[in-house]
Amino acid sequence: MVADQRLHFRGAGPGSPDSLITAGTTRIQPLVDDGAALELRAGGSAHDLQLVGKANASPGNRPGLLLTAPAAGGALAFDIQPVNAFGVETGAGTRKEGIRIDDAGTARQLDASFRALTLAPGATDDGSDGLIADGPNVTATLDRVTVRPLSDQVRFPLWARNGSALVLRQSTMLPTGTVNIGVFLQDTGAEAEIERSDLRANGSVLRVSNTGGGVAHAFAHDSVLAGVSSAPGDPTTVPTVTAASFSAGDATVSLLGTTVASRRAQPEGINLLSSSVGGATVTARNTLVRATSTAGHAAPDVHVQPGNRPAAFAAANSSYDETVVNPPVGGGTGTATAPGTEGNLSGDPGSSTRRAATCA
Amino acid sequence: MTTRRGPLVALLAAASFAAPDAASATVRAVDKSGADNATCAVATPCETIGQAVSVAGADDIIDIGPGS
Repeated sequence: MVADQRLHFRGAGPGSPDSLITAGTTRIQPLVDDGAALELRAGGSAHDLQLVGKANASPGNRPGLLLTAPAAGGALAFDIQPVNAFGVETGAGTRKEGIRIDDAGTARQLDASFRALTLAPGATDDGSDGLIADGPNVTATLDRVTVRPLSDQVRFPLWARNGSALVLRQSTMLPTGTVNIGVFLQDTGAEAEIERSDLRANGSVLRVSNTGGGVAHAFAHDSVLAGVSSAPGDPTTVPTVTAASFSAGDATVSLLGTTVASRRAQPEGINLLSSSVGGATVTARNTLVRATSTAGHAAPDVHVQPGNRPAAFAAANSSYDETVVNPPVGGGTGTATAPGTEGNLSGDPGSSTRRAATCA
Repeated sequence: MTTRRGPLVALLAAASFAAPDAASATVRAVDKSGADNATCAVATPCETIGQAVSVAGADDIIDIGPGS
């Protein structure tokens, strides 16, 4: 269903990702057409709906909900509340996201607000993405949203591409299923703000990966970012937070009042990777970083891997214990504020093993 | 919010424009028991969403009953 003018769709209920066909649900799924269940092209809203894309033979993305702008113009706003949206398989090697906000190359400003809903990538197919924001002036704001991956092959539950922005407020990601990267910022100008959110993933939680110029940036405050593995013998090293530059741009992460945890056989709390022409920077204030190996392996809280450009971890008034700085591959420098300096605590704070003192 | 797109309050303000104006919006109803017609009024709902969208004006509400 395509809406070329601003309309407001209201259903009887979104149903549940665990049971797509339930009484009292309004479900939209194309019977013949190959495309999104609902495509809003001029702003508008969708409430209390279940949206399932339609897959025909041709490969491509078939999201449940597509918010887009086919031509240049002014800003568009979208308001999405309890909606369950699922993409569907379109052929081998393709991906299918539940929700896509895409400026279709117009560089138009699209502001999409998602409130009080559950994103469940993998509910209909393995390999799904959850929500994709695509475009330099696209912003997806998630307020009290729960992300619950439902398969062991989910790729990116939240993915910001081509300079788009994600805002997460009081939102939750559950460590169900297995994901590649929970929140993936890719390309120049991509940015995220994670506020008062609890993001846990069986996989990497946050990756800022700049493959272009400029800066890609994430800011997390008053939040928990925790990567775990349900396979204790998994030999793969998976950082919870990564700032990686692969081209001319910089990748930066700012952490304030945030806990970063990694618990798996080969854990890493924070990984910084600079390239030949782009730097990687992570700053931490009032933040706790802790990596724990379930198999007795090395467990760096911070791992700095410089290329030709600087890779720098700078922390103050934070708690972390083990930092590893590799020799630079090229002419760059790798630095990490030493634990126990700049007001930082070193060693295990013992928050999980010590009883709080009892006040008389 | 400190992104280049401005304060978050601006985003929330923009998002508010996505909501319908309850005073002026016309409700177009869709129900499995309905039959497509020229108005899709609440008293005479249409059967298909496509018909409701085709008769709607900007900012109308498309009210869809349960079912698939």
